[in-house]
Amino acid sequence: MCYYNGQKVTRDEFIRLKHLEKLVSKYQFLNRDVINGFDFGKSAVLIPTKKENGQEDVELVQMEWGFIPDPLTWPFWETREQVNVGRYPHKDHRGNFVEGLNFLNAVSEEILFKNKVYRKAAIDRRCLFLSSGFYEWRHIFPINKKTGERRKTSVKYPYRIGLKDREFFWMAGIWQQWEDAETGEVVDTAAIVTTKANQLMKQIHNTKERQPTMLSDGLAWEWIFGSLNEKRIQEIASWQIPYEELDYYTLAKDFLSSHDPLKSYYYHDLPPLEVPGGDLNTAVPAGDQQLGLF
Amino acid sequence: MAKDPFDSIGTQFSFVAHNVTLTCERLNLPRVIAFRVAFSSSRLPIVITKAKGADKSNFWTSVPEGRQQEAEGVGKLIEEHLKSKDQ
Repeated sequence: MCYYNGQKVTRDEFIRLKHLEKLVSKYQFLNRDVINGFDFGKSAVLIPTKKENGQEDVELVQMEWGFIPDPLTWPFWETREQVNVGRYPHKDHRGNFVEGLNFLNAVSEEILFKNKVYRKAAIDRRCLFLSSGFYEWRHIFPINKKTGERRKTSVKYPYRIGLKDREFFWMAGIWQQWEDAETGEVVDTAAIVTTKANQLMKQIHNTKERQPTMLSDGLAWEWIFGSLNEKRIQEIASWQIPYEELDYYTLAKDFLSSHDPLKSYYYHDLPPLEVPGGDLNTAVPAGDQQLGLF
Repeated sequence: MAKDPFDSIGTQFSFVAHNVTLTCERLNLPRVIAFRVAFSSSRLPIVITKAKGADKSNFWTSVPEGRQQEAEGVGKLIEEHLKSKDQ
């Protein structure tokens, strides 16, 4: 006799439920509208493999989004407990407040720097993040009507960004296997590579002016299968997708907790983006809402 | 094979219980009664399934393990919702 969740079940039922766990984990990781990086949960990642005949092949796997560096280059995170503390703002051993290090994004311009924790992964372990869209917040600073000056606190408008006519696309990633020195837990972790924002993304992600490195199919293939020198790794990692290929719309400010997080939301007070020669609008008005990506 | 009683409520449905909206999605897995349930409150989504106990009785359980009490409560609410729709 076995126990599942503390309930007495037969061995057959136990095996069935364990099998169901596997099915559910596969089902769930491709079936999520929003993955919040700060949850450090699992994301769908494509890695290169080889068939028995040596032919190139790929495998879609789950990895923890939030790179945990090799302890040889980053000896501060040897245990899960250290990782869990280090990822968030905390007090160090001297009692000083320090920012958390989440390693969610790898800045492409620095990815190959000799002292960077990402360097070896960028050379040896490149992967692709599967995405149907990502989210950034546009900051608008209202004008104080009395003083005429810009207010210090911005109003944030969330956007969903994807590729036109594409249900899914690829973002450059790098990955690292990590082992908990205390428990022996082995986990594959990954970071999304980011690049300078293109003309459109500069206006959406207007505080940091960064965006994920979204790759064309050809570049995606080269990123994971190519025998690349450092110059080419750098080129692809920093590649900026043309703004004309992006599809985007605005979301409700509380979309992260919404039942329908992908639903577009029109803001009357939001100035349109300035795109030369384009007729790209922010979102369709309420009442005529039709999602562009799904 | 007997008809699955949960077939009648569709693959996606939502209802309100205790001032919280439960958005349920029937997982498309053959011969399995399993739902992914999201909540309008801060509670994390849960996957529940109907399992058979050693004493042959059915019970709701969470997949993966770890949230048995919630699974039983949510499963009961779904069953109540199903009954209310039948009436």
